[in-house]
Amino acid sequence: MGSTESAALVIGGGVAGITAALGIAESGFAVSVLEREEDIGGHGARLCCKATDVCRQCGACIVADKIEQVRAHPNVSILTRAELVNLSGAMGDFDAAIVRDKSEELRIRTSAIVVATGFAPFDARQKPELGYRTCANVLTGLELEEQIRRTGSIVRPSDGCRPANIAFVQCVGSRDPHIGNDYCSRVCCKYALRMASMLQARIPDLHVTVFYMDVQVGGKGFYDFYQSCRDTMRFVRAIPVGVVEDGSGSIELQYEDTTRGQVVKEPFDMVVLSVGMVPAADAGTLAAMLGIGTNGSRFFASRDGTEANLTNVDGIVLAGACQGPKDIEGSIAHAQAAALRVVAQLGVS
Amino acid sequence: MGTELKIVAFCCEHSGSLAARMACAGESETSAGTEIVSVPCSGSVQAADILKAFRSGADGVVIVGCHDGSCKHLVGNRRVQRRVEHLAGTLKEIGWNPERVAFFPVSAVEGQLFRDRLAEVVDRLRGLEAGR
Amino acid sequence: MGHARNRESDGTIKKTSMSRRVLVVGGGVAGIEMALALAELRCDTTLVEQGTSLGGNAGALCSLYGFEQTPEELIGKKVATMRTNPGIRVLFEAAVRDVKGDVGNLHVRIEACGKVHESDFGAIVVATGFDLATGSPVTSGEPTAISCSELERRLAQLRAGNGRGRSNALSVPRNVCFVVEDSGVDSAVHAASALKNALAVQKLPKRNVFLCCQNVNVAGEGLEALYREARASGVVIFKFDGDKPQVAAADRGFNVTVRDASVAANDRCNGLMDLHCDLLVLPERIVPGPHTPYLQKLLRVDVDSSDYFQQNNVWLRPTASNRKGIFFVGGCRGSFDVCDILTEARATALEVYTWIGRDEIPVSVGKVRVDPAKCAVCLTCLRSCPHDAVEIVFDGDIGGKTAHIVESACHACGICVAECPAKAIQMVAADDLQKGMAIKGERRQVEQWVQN
Repeated sequence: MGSTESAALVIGGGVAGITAALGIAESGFAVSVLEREEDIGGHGARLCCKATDVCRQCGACIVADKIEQVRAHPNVSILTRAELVNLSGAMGDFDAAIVRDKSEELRIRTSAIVVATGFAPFDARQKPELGYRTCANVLTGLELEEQIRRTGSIVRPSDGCRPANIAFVQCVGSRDPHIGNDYCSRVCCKYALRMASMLQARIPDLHVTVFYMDVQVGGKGFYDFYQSCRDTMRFVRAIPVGVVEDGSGSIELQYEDTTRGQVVKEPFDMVVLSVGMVPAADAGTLAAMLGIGTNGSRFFASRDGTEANLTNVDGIVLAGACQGPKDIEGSIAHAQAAALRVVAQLGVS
Repeated sequence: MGTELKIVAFCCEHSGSLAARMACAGESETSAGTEIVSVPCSGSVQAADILKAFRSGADGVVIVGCHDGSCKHLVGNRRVQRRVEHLAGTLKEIGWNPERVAFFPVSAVEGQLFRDRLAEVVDRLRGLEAGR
Repeated sequence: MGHARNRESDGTIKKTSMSRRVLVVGGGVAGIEMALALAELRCDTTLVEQGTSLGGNAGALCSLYGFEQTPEELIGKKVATMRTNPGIRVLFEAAVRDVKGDVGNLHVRIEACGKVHESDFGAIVVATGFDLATGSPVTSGEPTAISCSELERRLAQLRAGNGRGRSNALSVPRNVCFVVEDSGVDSAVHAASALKNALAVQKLPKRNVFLCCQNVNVAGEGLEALYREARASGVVIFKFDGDKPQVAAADRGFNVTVRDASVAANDRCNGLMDLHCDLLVLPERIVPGPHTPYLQKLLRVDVDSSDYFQQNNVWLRPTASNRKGIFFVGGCRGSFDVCDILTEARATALEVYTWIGRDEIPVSVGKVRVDPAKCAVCLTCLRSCPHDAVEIVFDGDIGGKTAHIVESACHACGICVAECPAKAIQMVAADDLQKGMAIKGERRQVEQWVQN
């Protein structure tokens, strides 16, 4: 069993984990990054560029840049296909038991721990009325991102043809007390509108309809962009309650048109469900292992409202979406703030 | 398969080079047709560099930079686009077809777009008369 | 920064000494948190505040949703911590008058209470906040329309028990209506602020509260819970789309007519809601702080299209600027949520610390070099440098002026090299010869699938 020492241990190699690792490494300390997948990058590395004639500030390219930086940094050691299985000790002297490739055991002694395990996309099968996995041409936002990233555009899964008419359904799995997710996931309005706008630039005459409750307009430059979307897209203030798929793969969405007070059935070539962020499936297990708490939305709990990184355990800090939904910019800021806590703890010359 | 075209691609290290690498991923080594020259910013590519590329035997030159608004050096991509437009006039004067030089923007994660744009360039070059 | 850092460290390395002092401009919540975070990293911080006390816009708020403590109490605690820290110096009634020198050693002249302070700083963090514009999108001109800020003050007075009975009813009367239109970069914060205050009013006895807004802002810590609590408590929320609510003075109050997006027009009703309120509350527009243009010129930095600091470029997020060592945090860059601002400040403190390093930074001498003999001082490089890394200096050897690259500020992007009409600037690692070699020698294959 190998044993090494590291000033800090970062659990999770997504954009938050990478950012925290870089922040600590740049301050002169050795950092180990544990990533359980084949490669670092997390969900951020699956996202597509959403530029039209201008950059839309989505941050997908920043993730790529950070991955380059962290791979090149001499103070960072990256362990992929590695998972934490046990933690003991206390701040300044933690003992982390790790398993690599499901077989190799190793231990890392470390002074500080950064939890950066990210999120899971909401499983849209929990909303069966929206047809995910039962209708061929219903995708999630993340699947759309991956398709665009891989191919540069989108086609209907059912027949490989270009869609002429797409519906985006917002708030899938968010702001929904019936399924226990009573929070806004913050990223969906942005990603949906940016992708819709980009697809309209790539596919001539593409009709886009956005079904929404409220558009979240915060963030630098986003309000002006949203106003431009209102000129090219149709916004319907209703969330569909049912889908029917016909033989040609066309998806009929059923919703209430509140301006007319009628229930409407409208066909679309494709439907994109803007799924939100939920805690990773094993977040509870990890919380128990580390001795940290979870909050009402089951994300990891930070100490209080003004203290977004510290946990109830000294020496363990939170970085990124594992503490609550965040976009790439927000995850980077949160992770750098976490790195500050670690650097302050490790000691400043 | 026809004469192999030689293209020199000046690629911004923050966008073009990474997109080129993404485009290459999974492809096996073959004889070179496109040479990637990594530069710190597309804005650092000078007219002289483009002309040297032609002198070294290139049939076409592309400059691959960042999308408008995402240049790490803020305006480098715009500057090189203006330079290319200006160079077009010079090329015409010396009898070269200005369509042999092109700028296109990609981001670091647009490997497919890099391939598509490069394919467009190759098609255009094939359509031009040989030699000039 | 990965490649860029390697590139910048080509060429001869020399250590340039840097000031380890940090200047924080602005004593609101962003500046306060910056000072505290920098103190944790043992940076020597000077905070300049134009007023006579710390707290800024957040300090003037009467409540923050989800917190029992008032902003005054929260900030008070932070300020008390600041006072005990010898690494933080605060100057009140202070203004930055002049900034000279290069990044890494910025020489700043500050005037405070009539005295002049001059110091070198390694980094400057601008945290000057935002301003509130008088007047509002839905103008009234009547005395009973007030701003959210004024309502907050009245609510705080009521909580403190000032005034009783009849004057309470006058200050926050029975029927209160908020109208919040989407207005720009500040839309989100107005919606959240109105929700918070609507709930506060509804909790008073026998109040009827209406909130008319375009989009409810729930993309912040605790805001969805606030929205649900407001609705559950009885606040009636109307959401309008294109048609803005019509407001008219009537009956010692206002009539507000609003088309709610969920109410249909048919032959029995026209879909419009009429309500009467005693008090109309409108948000004040948030605008960039008045010092922004002045500081922009002084610090030679960029602003975005809404005139908040920091160009809207994804590489400058969250808080960097086009000049190394100068950062923007909080309201002055268009960031208005208090929790986000605290996180930004801490994130920036680490960047400042990394930038300042351990008293010296390696710079590569001659990485980008101007040949004074060829320089015509046409100022092209100075104008085209995105990072403000070019200065004009007197060169003794040639007995005249020349452009000179400021090494600590240079990002080695090569733009000046390409722009110089006289080809007077060379970049060591990527000069013409090496690029020529690269074209001949470097073999990268991209071709099979393109040429076939």
